[in-house]
Amino acid sequence: MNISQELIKGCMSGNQQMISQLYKILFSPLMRICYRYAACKDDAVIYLNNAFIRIIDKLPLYKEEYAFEAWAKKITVNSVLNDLAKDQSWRKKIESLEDYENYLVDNQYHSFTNHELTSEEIMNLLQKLPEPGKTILNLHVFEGFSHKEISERLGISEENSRWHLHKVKNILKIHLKTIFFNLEVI
Amino acid sequence: MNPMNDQEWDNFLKAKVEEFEFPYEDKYWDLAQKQLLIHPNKPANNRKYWIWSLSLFILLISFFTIGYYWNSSLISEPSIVQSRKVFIQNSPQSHNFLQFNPLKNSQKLVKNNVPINLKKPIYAQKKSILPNHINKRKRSAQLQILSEKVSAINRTILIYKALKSDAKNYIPLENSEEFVKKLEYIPTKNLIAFKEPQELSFITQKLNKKDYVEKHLHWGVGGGIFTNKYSHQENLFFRQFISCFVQYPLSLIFYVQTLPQMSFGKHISLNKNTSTHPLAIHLPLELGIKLNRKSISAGFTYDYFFLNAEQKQDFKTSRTHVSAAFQSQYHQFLLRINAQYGLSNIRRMEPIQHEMRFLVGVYYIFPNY
Repeated sequence: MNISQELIKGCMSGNQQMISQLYKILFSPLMRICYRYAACKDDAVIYLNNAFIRIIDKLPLYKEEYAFEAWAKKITVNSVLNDLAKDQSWRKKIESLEDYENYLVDNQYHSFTNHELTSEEIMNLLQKLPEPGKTILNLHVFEGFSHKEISERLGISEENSRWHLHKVKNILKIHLKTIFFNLEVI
Repeated sequence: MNPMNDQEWDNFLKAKVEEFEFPYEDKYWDLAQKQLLIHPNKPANNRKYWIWSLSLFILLISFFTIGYYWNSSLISEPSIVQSRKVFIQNSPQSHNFLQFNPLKNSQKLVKNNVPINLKKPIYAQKKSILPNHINKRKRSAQLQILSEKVSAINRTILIYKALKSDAKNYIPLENSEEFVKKLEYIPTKNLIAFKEPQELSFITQKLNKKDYVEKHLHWGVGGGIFTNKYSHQENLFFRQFISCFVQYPLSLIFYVQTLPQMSFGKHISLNKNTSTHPLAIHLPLELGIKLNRKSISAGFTYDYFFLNAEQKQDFKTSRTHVSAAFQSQYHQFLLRINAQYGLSNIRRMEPIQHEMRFLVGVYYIFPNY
């Protein structure tokens, strides 16, 4: 990602062209984050735009010793979590025990026979996972949150966090069981 | 064929996700641009919040200042004159001795013929009618003056008795003008009580009694429950706190107080989930009004959180809230209900959130000696 100091300064001064340029540069990396948490692509775009506004707001706080991409991603993750927290249906799912077994029955996913699984298929699979396991998986695997941090952030216990992660990983493994064996062959 | 372990699994997922590139379209920027145009100016919002809070604070200070000076001016001349009249009613009824007449400006003693100017302002009288306001240093001086007054009154009685028996027998006063001034320091209720020599002891007892003298500061300790709620979360969190209590009376009804608190323990939410919370100290500073045994107060609270180096990167260490409280005292125990409100971004990279807090505490107030 090529983000120069001139570009950042231009965005801080309100130059629309430079802000647009920054948006294009950040679109794909931040969309990879937002898409994993969202229920659909439209929601992902909303989360991305909200996060981008916060990035622009906080540009004066950015320090050059930090990598801009990592800094922007951190803001995005927090922004997405705030947006999710405002969603009443998401809050209810966090506070209730998800029935993962029924999810497997209701959402029979065809196992891949082609071991060359594309990244798009993986992304779609991640997006379709049930809550709150999906959010916990994203926070733990992709953002590197510990279970303690997840429990504080989501207002659940550490035990619940581990349980959800275990369940949602099992779902992924069941869906991708063919792939695992094939990958080993490669 | 061995299945992948957890770490390999995680690395596989991360690698696949990082490979994926979302195709960009101009319509996404159009949407973002529209949002940016209508996005409220955050610094202006913060400024607006501070302007409102500062205005409210200035209004509260003005209210209490005006109330304090208004309260101090409640003691008016008529009550001073009234106390003099009462004294006169109770004083020796001898035409040869003291002839106090508040309507006339002169008075002649039988022997000394020293004129007394009753029109002279006696500003100190106001303070003596409210003995609770006098601090320790002034209290000692006042006690000294009062004990001299008592001696003077004693002499007056002797003179009175002597004159009653024989008009020619008397004991001259040292300085009648000073004597009159000193007598006016005596509160009205004590003057009414003074009738006979033995009742002078009522005055001296009243002066020496410990409850007649109040220390300025009121101290206490206590603790209670601390609840808070953030605008973006449905959960209500609970913690415990311990606190000390320091109150300084500004007048009969106004006071200033601070209640340094320390909150600790886990955050327990309504659905019984727990999460850790750093140790925190809270410093409220409030102005209050007493309403009999109850009081209301308002002010600010400053919070400081003890965070480790890692936590300081993500979280802010301090916050400020506006505070309002209701207190009710029964004997040495005080019940306090406190509400606090503030705007803050708890994490450094988050937007501003509303936070409401409710604290319920019980305090033991140490008796004054």
